[in-house]
Amino acid sequence: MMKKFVKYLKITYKWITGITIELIYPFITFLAAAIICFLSYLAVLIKK
Amino acid sequence: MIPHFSREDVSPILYYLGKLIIGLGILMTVPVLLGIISQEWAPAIDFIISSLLCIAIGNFLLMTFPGETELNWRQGMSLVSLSWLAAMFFGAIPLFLSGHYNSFLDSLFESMSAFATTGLTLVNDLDHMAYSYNFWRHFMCFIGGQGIILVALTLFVKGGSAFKVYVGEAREEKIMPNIIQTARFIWFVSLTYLVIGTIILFLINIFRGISPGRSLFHAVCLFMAGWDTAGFATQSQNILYYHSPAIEVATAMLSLLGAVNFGVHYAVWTGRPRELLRNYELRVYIVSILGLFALICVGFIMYFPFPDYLSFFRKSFYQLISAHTGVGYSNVTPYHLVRYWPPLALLGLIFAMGLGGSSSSTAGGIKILRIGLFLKGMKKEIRILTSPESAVIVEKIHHIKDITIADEHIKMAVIIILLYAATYIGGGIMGVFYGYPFLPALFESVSATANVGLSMGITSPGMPDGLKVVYIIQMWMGRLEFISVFVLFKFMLSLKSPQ
Repeated sequence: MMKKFVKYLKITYKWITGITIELIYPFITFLAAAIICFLSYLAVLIKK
Repeated sequence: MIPHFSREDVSPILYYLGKLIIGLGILMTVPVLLGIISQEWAPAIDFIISSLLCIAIGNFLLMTFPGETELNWRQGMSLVSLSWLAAMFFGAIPLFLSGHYNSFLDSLFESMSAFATTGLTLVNDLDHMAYSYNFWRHFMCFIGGQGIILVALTLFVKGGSAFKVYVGEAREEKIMPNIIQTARFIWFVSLTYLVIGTIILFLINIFRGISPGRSLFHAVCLFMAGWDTAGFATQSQNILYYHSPAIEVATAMLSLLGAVNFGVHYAVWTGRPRELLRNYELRVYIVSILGLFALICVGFIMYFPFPDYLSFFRKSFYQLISAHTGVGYSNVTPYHLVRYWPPLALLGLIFAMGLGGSSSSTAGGIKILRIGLFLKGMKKEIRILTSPESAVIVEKIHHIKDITIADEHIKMAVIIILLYAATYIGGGIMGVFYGYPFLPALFESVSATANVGLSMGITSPGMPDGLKVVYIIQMWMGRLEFISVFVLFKFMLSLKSPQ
């Protein structure tokens, strides 16, 4: 019984960790895009 | 090589088609319940009529073509193509009965757009549509995005037939050893994110002062169309209606996750988080997103229509994510795209739409894995040309597991890329034939074939009927990635002239 409980606990832990990591990955992409966008905005300001 | 069809192939195909139509009829009971809860009696009756019609016709097919036999490849592929046409037809019935569409053709267009997770719409007066009709539009996106066949797999199709119809629906990878388990895992991922996404969107709506009932309705609908990269929204102004950066971040996040291979989800959820960093397809995807965004930004350096940095980032990046994941949500109007977006930025969006998301995800388009294979193929050829003749050149990628690339992989990828490219351009030429300028016509054609849903204003109830039919075919072929549609064509021709 205890073994089963620990097994399910491990699966749930992996599952929650996995979702959390997956939710972080789009934010890293957004951050990189924000930097690209900022650089081009600087180019727009310099051009003006 | 697919052998010739015979008349004996008809019976099993129509038998399983009957089952699928019954399944669709059962799914129509969900909007019936919503109609009863929200006291929309006329829509509830429309759905009851449509549901009964599906069940009656499905049962007729089951009784006329009895016998549950195992499907072979050609039958499986033809069944998939026919299923999508049947779903379009029966899904359109309640929409047509709603009175929000000018003709049955418009309802068919909407239905195919939803099932194929495109998001191009021909609806009139969406802002006053009854909850149950509006829910049905989004529910069709969810069913289509998951895969009509995948839905059926978990319910009706068993044994060896299952893999044949699964592959026919443009999904090749078995995430788990058993195809039914794979289907269930895909459902598990989607339902997990359904709960997470709905809670996030619900809370945002509540904080914005929308009533709890409407908040929940908007949250569920936005999630279904966002996760399955469809792009329908509950209001005519799409995401622009909310004027909310929080909603834009949430929907962009969901669509990015929806465009990730289900195999990657499986790896990360089972204790292999490094797959996110190692996966070749995901790496190419991120590079493609950032590269195309850089192209769009360069376009805007030449002509800058935004008041400030935040507005620039919000509008341009959201459109790119929307295009690249195939979701088709928009926080600008089609007029804004036509009037204020420079051609280079529009080209960036067209490329993003055309490339699409990951393989075995809910996204459409060419798929990033094929682009990656094509690039690896090019690299391999260059290495062969620059190495000694005796050298053995091997290219490998990590995609869930380590894969050595064979010429066969590259050949299949190139064939599908060429088929998509030809359809994109062909649809664009058809648009020009109907009197539209080439760039918007190409934009709309790519949007339809890659199942994106962004529009430069061509798609409207007033567009020519011929072009509506062209886009319906493009959405259908694009969603099924051509092969199973070609098999169906061969099946039809064989029936006409049996050998």
